[in-house]
Amino acid sequence: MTRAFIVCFAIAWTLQAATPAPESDSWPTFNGDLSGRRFSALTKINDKNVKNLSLAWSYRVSGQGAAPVKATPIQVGGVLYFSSPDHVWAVDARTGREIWHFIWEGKGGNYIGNRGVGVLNDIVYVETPDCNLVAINSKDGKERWRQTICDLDRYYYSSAAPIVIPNHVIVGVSGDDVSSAGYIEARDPSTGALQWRWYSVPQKAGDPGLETWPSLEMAKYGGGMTWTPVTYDPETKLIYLTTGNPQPVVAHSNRPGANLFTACIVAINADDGKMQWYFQASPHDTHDWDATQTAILIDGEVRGERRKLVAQASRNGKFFLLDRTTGKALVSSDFVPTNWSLGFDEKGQPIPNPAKHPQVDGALVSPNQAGAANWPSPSFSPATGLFYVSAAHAYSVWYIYDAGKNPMGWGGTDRGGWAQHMVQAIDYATGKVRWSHTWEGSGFSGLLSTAGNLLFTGDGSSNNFVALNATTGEPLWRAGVRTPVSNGPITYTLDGLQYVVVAAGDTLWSFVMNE
Amino acid sequence: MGAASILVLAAVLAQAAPPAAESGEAVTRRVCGTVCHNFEHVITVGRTRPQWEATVENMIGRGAKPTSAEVTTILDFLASKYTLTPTTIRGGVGPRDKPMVDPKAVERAVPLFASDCQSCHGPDARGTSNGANLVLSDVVLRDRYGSTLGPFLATAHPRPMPALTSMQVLLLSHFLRARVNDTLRGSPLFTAGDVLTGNANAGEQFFKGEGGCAACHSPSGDLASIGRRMDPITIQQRFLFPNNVASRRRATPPPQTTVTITLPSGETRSGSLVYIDDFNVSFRDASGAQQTVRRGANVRVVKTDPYAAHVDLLPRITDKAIHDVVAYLASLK
Repeated sequence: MTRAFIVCFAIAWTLQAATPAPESDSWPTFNGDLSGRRFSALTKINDKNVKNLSLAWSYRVSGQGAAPVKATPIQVGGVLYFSSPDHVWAVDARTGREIWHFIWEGKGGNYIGNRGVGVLNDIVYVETPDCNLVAINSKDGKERWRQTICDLDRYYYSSAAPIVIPNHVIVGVSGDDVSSAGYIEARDPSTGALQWRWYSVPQKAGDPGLETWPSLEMAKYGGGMTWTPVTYDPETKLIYLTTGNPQPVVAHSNRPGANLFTACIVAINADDGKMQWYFQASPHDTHDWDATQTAILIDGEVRGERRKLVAQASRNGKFFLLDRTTGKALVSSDFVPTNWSLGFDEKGQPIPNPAKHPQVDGALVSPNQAGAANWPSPSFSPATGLFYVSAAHAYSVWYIYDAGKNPMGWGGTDRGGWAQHMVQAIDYATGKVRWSHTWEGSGFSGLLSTAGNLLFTGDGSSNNFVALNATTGEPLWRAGVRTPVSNGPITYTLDGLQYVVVAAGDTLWSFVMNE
Repeated sequence: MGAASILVLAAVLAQAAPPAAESGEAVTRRVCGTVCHNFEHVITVGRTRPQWEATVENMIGRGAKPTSAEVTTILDFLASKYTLTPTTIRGGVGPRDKPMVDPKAVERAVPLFASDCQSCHGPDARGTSNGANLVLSDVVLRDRYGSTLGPFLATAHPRPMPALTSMQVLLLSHFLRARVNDTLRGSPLFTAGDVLTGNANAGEQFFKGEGGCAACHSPSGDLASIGRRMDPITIQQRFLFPNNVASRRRATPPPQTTVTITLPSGETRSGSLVYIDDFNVSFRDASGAQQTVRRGANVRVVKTDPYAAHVDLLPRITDKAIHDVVAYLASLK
């Protein structure tokens, strides 16, 4: 792809983001498009021929903290760009040969993972564990500029993938050690200058949501981190943000109330950073169930009416389908068995069962801390009408360790546990599980659905990259990739060949259909 | 001034080499603990080697006259015996230069905090109606051994405290960082409370009846004296999640999942499960050999999980029954 083409593509993307469909020869943003669907219209690889899918190349990363690779690669111009904490690579998408490797000299932070980069024109954006947004030249991997986006001394760190939307780069922040406020920021794509910041929790008297906290101080440092890349509807210019759990995390005696806007799906105006509506997936969460699973945008029918929708399979085991223009819930359901709630309120939000909050002598709760879903990306196929989520039916016992009146930090935890991992294929319009495929191994993996009636993912600790029939869940193909799949797979065509690329631990694997 | 400059300065000031047999502590006591202050004052707070170098440099600036050899000996002694070690509490997160904590300094700060700070900020520094929660404070979180705390207390505190010595500020800095660390995951403050809240008689009833536990277990057999062998929380975890990895750390090998495979021909094979995915199943047969069978529509695979009865309990057991069973098992002394 020439530079001119990249520029044209960027302009076209700017103008046409309203029709979110991945360019067939690229995977230009974290979720393939801004809708979060992780659906590809490509059909060269399909349920009939996937058994012939074969290895094209593998690329093994090196460097301290480089593995596992949790990033979803971006592919533009025949180059794959991907990251792990303090590292960014550019790799030839046809050959798997390294073009450049950028290493950030970090000052600390949490190295648990990095979800990926953002790319616009000739800039690659990455967030670093020590709270910087860094712009790198896509051509040679040299740093162009850096901007501090959070306070390392408050134990914030950065792990999210920046999302490029028209006129803005949207960045999120991470952290759950020292009580601090979550927020997202819009940054100028050319300079990184701050355009606006939206806080997940009230920061001053009069802020909305303050009435759901006992005091401004509890609210101000009340958490709600923004771990997961946002989705975006260019027609309404709304960003769909999902927010993390409140703090203190487990012990909760000093934060009675719903604790808005933690564990929420929030619609934010992209131009001014103002909140349009919210829906709280976990009111007054006490189980570390951040609601930061991707909010997928769906245009489809519900009860005979075509609507603009947003759907989430949340960490707490609940599936929500909302009208994305109003935030009104249309469906609230369980996508795995759970035991912590007393149904749904009039807004469709779960009602926590007080007996299933963590207890000094222990409460058996389903799901466990890892949740019924976690950060690995879900997928929605408009071809099947199914919302796919890497899920777990899990139990653990939750304990309060700090039973005082003013706990801080976690103040408790869960211990032990049992879990069964699976893919749940959910009918988006009803919330009912259409099919379920249980893995023999354990663990979550990201998902990719395609118009070839395929669902690509990992089978957890069995260490396979697999393809399932997207309509039935039948396993069709596997490749042993040594360790569990650690990111979300992507697909694109180059030179008329369709590739599927996935990361497992320290290795990026590329598969191709040679037909 | 760096360490090299200290050595040069010390060499210029050199009077005599220390006796060869004199220990590091003896040199430090002689040079640093006799004229201006005693040795105990020197070692009030542990420091990193760069901090000790800066301190010795400072003392030379104030008139101390060690020889270059003595400087080396003193630095080696202090930096090895009175050093700071990185926290093990969430040590891998936060800024890489986050302050380390000297427990002895924290202890020494307690009376000072109690007399000057506690009435407003509370004994754990988490605030009262009269004073801020210091664990949330940017001044505290950005502090490095008094760097922001000292200037703040001297001038910006609602009740400025310019009379605090640098040593007092340093002690408070250690104390407050310890209070921050108290809140992090892995903090020694975070320990389980009393889980022995159930009714042993009710637990026995559940064990023998609804729970179905007596089908495999016996209070006079495998569970004899379990209340002496395990603490209550371990009992709770083991009986709910016997196959959890943590629960499997025990002397006797855990029972294995077995698998029986029926091939399209009708032949059956079985053994202990080694590996299984959607496409293959591997098992160890009676001879000890490993076999792998490719799975398919006409291959029937039946797994037998020895812990199935425990898994079956999870959706139906109540928290009350859990606590009752723990009380019952804990009573088996």
